[in-house]
Amino acid sequence: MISEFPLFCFTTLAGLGAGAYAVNAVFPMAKSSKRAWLFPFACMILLAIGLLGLPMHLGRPERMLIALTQPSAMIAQEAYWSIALGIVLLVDTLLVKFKGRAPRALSIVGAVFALVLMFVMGNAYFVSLAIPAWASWATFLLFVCGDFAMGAALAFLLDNVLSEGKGEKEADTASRQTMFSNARIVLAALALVSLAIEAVHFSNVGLSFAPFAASAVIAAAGIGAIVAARMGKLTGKAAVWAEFVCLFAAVAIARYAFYAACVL
Amino acid sequence: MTRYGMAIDLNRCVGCQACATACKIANNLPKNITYNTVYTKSDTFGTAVAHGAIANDNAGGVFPNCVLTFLPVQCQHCENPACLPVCPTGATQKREDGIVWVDSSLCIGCRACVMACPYDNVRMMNETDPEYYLDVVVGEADAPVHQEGTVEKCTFCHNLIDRGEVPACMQLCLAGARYWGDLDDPESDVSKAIEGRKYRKLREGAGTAPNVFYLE
Repeated sequence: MISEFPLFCFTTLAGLGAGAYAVNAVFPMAKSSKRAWLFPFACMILLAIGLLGLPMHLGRPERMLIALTQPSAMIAQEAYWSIALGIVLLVDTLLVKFKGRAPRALSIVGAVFALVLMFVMGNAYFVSLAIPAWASWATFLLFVCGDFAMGAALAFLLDNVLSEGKGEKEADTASRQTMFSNARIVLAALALVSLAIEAVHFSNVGLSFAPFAASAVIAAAGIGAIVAARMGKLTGKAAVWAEFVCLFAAVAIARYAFYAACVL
Repeated sequence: MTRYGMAIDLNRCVGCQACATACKIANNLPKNITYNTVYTKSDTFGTAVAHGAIANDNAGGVFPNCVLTFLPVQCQHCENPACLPVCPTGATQKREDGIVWVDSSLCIGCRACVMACPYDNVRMMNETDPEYYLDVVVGEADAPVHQEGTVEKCTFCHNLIDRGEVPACMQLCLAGARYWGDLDDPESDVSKAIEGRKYRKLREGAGTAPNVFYLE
């Protein structure tokens, strides 16, 4: 196992939750659904599980309290923005659960926090000058594009899962569905490009580009699933799950390979 | 204000490793820990073996155009140390006189400083309980503490400096290749050594502004 496994869990799971929430701020799910509160709740759970990786990375949990007193430390910055996003997710969950809906401004604020968190995650490795594989602008692309792509897939998955079964699925307009579909294709394509750039960068610093090439192929399969669903060749749960599994796997494999570059 | 720095004359360095040995003894360093290493360079100016140097004391190139130079590398005690802001516990600290050091009582061994530092092999992790070549403690009585799970690096021998001495690597350099002192004092040895000389710093592009000058 890689030495940075706790951080791999943090950036992958918290990034997934942050990406999904940010995308949902632009393409909000069915507001009439009685289970809509489960969306911010699911994002919060992902963030919370991921956050466990930070104290685990430090060896002993109480050290995280010390780290929180060092604002310039990357791990502290990740924790600050995670906590800020977590508070928004908690408030969103409670408002939607008990009041039926949350103000749009809350989603926007949460999306901004999520976006900053993605950048902070990337920056934590960008500043690692001893590791040429990390200290590159490609790192930002890898993290931000990856989080958005798998987050969009998760948002679409939850949109379907939480709306089905009880006849609560909001009558989505065709234009909203098309726009969301287009957005997911664009985000997945950007993730694919970021994987290709990272593959080139890893190759340039003498490391294997194979994991990133494999991830790019899997991401392309995810795009294929979206396109197939639009063309009616892939329907129902299969299309939704295929898209999510492909994009999540692509990002997770790439990120694992990214962390494996740390051999200090 | 005092701002300590060091100049190393690469034209004088003979690669004898005396500075590395002095450092090892003065700081009672464990087996797997070195603060200061002299690399053999057979090609161009660089930072370490990983960047082109071959094994110690072997010339590079093709006869008769062989090249053999040496590059002593240690913590560069930077003006803008990349290791400082990333430390999650405040263990990495910078004194008012510019010396960057690690407080082992605060270090948790997360290696954030190791990852952030652009200079190869200048700080090392005590992965296990330190082991020593000798059964007796050597070096200064107030040498740094070595303990498992902490990161160590050159301290510029601040224990010696604080009582008016110079770093251990200075004391044993038989070629007189090292110059030490206050960079803000034009009369200091290091300021005089730098003045009018062509010098380089390691990885200046990293933006860390090292305080170790390599005279060419």
